[in-house]
Amino acid sequence: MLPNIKTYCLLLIAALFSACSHDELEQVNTVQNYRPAADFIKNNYDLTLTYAALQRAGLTETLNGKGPFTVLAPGNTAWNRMGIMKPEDFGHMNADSLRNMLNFHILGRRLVVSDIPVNGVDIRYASLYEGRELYTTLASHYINSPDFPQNQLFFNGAFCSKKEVVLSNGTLYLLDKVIKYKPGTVQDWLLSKDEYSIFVAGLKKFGLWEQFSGPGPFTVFAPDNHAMAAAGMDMNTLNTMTADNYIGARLFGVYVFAKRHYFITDFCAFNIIYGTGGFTQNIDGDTFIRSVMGDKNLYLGTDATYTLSVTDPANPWAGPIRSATGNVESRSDYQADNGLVHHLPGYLITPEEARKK
Amino acid sequence: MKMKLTTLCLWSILLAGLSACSKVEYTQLENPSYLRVFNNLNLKIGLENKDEERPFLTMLIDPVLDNNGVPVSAAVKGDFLDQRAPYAPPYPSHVGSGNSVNNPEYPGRENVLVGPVLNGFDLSSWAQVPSGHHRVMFMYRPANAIPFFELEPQLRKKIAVDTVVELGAREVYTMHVLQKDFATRKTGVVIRTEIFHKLPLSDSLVYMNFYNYSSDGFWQADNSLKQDQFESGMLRYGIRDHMNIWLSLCKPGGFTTLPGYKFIQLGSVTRDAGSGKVAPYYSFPLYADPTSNHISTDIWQRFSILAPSIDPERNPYGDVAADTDGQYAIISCIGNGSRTNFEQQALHLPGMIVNIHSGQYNPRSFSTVNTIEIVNGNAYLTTIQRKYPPPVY
Repeated sequence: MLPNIKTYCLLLIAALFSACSHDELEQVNTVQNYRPAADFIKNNYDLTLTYAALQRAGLTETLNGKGPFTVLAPGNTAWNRMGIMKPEDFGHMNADSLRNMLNFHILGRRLVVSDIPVNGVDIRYASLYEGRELYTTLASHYINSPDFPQNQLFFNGAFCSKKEVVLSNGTLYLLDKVIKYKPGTVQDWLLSKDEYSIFVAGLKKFGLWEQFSGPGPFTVFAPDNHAMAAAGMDMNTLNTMTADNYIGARLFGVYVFAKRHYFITDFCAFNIIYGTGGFTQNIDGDTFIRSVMGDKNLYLGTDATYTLSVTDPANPWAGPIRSATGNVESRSDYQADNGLVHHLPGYLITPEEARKK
Repeated sequence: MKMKLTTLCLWSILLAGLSACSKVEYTQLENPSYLRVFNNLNLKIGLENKDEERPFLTMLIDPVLDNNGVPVSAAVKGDFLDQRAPYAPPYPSHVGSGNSVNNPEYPGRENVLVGPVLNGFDLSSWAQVPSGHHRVMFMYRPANAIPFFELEPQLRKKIAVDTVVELGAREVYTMHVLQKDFATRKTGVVIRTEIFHKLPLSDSLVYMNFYNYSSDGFWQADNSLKQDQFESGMLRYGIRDHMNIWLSLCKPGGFTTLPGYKFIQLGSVTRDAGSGKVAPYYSFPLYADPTSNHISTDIWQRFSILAPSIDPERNPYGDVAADTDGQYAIISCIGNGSRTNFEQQALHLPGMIVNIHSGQYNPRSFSTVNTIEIVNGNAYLTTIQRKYPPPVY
């Protein structure tokens, strides 16, 4: 009886090894389910405006090509924030400028988050716009708490609300802001906007203007003409002012951060990494104390806010004498070759406060 | 029985086969130099200085560069060289401790050939490197755990220091990466040929010397430009270029000095972040405390650093002053270097006397040779110790 059971067992095992074959089995090729970049954008309701822009710039064919690409695609809300509401709006734009702008949103490589250094600030990657580099910041975790990852990603200050969407020819990141870059210096940028003419005239009058043609980098929080008027400065009063009677470094230098460049979301990223979303320092070349801070609710994706304030060192206990806040994110992060400009809808110092005693 | 014997034999043959003899080839260096490297770039990166490079380095000795000037290999690599720790202990305690790749010194955590025992001093914190003429590069690297040569080429381009050094055979060197100029943030290295192993140092005296490796213009700069280093106490804004040093030896728990050891003038320290000249060693007796049993002692050391012409007994700055205009600072070497409540404005470092289980005594006190390096409002202690008898349990 016993050998019989053994024989059966052996037969059973033999049967297991020669399991039935299935020659016509079709395996699912997962790669076929991924689309190339332009097709993916075309088929995504949140990227209709980006697709319209790509069409206008004639980039759709390129993006369906071999690649690899990393596409930083602004969502429709991002375009809306700039005032672009429907696909036809791109019709008014210069196709070449638009192509440059969009090429600045494309890297000629497949970039995944793990390629970016942990807590890397301003890691640069070449874009397709003549190889000009994008600044990438990855706020991975609080510096002393690697066990609590946050992994918030920013490209040139634009928050990346969705990361690493797989494409057949690369990867896609969804941005909540369009990256605004204009070749030229900070001088060129400020001169091109009439709304900052009083600020520009003031910088010139107090000898702060020439630096902006230099290498930088600079960060300028530019108060517009309304803000300057509220501070009691228009073209006429500025012309009648004697430069020697005022501390220019305070009156106009308060808006300038030399040798540093801050994207507005840097404050948010540094808050994650170092726990500080701002800093307080003397104004360059002056005794007055200046604070700058910024924040953005990354969860809700609301606009970033930024606040500058000044304190008189003679009365530090009285708190800041004035502060100005910007809360329209689309009016920040204007990038030039040697720095950044952010719009500031308020003023910080009146001429009287900057008068030499 | 026979069966058992056969099995045993078979097992023995199998074991012998598995553990077949192999020739161990020991790595050896002809005419090595002994090198220890510290990254003294102690600036913190925050929003206010975000465009500065984070001082996280890779050391490359005799690097090979490609056509674009990007290093592709090197004869010796010291990766993940982080800012140095306040205390560099006499034994390479970083090896095998912690799960981070960040290295507070070189060789530190690196698994490399280390130095021998010279004149009783254990040089296992020094790496063996080939002597002779070398190009040394320190590269800024991103703060992650990817080895330097596996980083993308564009992340391997930032040079902190590129220099050439001459290392003598069987000489002991300490190399410091430093900020040379506070205003321009220029970086450089100081290489110091150590002499402690050539001196007739006594086992019953504790030795120490002092260096001020602060950058040009640091103490003169406005305090608002200096980073807040609360832990450094009065030293946080730097000290003047030429300072006197006074030693006090105290009993634990407060500033109770031993008889005859209050404000002993040791000598002076002059700022020199260029020459790498060895500073003179000063000493105090290991058993300065008359009440000690001459086996172990618990005294601590307090160094008052004062501008010339200031008498420590008539010091215009109190011990709780916040800003002394670079004329006064205290370094307290006490316990394990954690802050005490009675030395509010002192910089705390571990005590210079090593108390450890040795022979039948636990603890037993050992004298050491110490170096204090003051760098831009911070101070670091390096302790070197002779070999001591192992503990008997």
